[in-house]
Amino acid sequence: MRITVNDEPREVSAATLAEALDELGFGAARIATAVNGGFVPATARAGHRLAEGDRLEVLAPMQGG
Amino acid sequence: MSRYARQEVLVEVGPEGQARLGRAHALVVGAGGLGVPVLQYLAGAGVGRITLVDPDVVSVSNLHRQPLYAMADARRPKAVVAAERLAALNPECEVVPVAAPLDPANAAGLLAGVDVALDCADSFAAAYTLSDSCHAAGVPLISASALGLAGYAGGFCGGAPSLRAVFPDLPERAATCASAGVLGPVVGVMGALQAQMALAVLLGLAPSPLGQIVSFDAGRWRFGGFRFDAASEPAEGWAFLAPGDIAEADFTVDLRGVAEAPVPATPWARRLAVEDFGPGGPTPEPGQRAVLCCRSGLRSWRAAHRLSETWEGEIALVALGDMEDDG
Repeated sequence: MRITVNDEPREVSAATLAEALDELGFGAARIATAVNGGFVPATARAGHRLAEGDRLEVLAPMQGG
Repeated sequence: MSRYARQEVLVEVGPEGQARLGRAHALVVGAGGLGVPVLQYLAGAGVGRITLVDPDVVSVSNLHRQPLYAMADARRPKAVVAAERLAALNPECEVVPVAAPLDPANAAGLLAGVDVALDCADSFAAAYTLSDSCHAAGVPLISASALGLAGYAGGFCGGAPSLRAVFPDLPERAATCASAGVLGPVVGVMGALQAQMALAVLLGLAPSPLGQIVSFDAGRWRFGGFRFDAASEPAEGWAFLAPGDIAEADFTVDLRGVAEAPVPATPWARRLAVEDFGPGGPTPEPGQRAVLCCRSGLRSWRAAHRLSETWEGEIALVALGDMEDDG
């Protein structure tokens, strides 16, 4: 299905957010994730099913200022 | 005409909102690339009182993103120079400079009576320390970070989830402005966003920036973000400890090498590397507290991960800070 990842169109075969992150190469990366503007905690990713057109946002913690 | 006429005319501000700003007390931690626009806009808007915490001196190599300072300010304390500049900008804003690092020992005292705190520092240790203290004290926290061409700013605590709820864990490696570089306007955008979020908190605007993260990617001209109002606090996480609160009874480890730090964190600290911890690695005595020290806190965090695989006791992290300034 087609989703967007940080506004970039991507095609994934994954059914859940956890599978999609693996497929997209984020694997064990320590990141925050949101779907359609709402935060999805790491513990809920395996149970979060994705739908066609979902907007996935991936944000890594950074330090700098 | 009042110097605030152009903002007071907004229905979101008005005379009542302007009076609220005048009565407000903001704590700003960090007077660098994020702190400079934060300070200029909060003082300009008429926030009555700002406590400014920064241990560093003005460095010429940082002026590209700290345009409040001049060449002649080099080597002077940033908190003091910023307070001078802001006094000229708006004498109605009282700025109290504190030329010291924020740490877990002084955070609660600095937050007393504060309406909003702003994390404009450049380290995970400062961000998590401030988030833990704000969460405990119920003070809203606007935290931001910028690196390279990207950054984010968010509103935490004060009734909203803490920074740990969104970022319960840190990456294995993390770049810094000193190692990876950063463009001035990128940090400036994030700092201006922090100031806007802080004003929204003080004015009580809806929707609140608390529970919201805004991300910015200047490489692709993209703003993003999400809300995290329902995020739950992580069950576990390692707290930071002030260097002065390390006890002789602690299982104290300095993760810095001898070349990096000729003098260890404490005379009784043992020198170990992150990789020494894990199965078969060293563990404290039962009941003893593990205190893991490094410069930024990131190696301490990684060592805590490995130690917690083989040991269930208390672990505290210490960020000893820079030996020399390059904030």
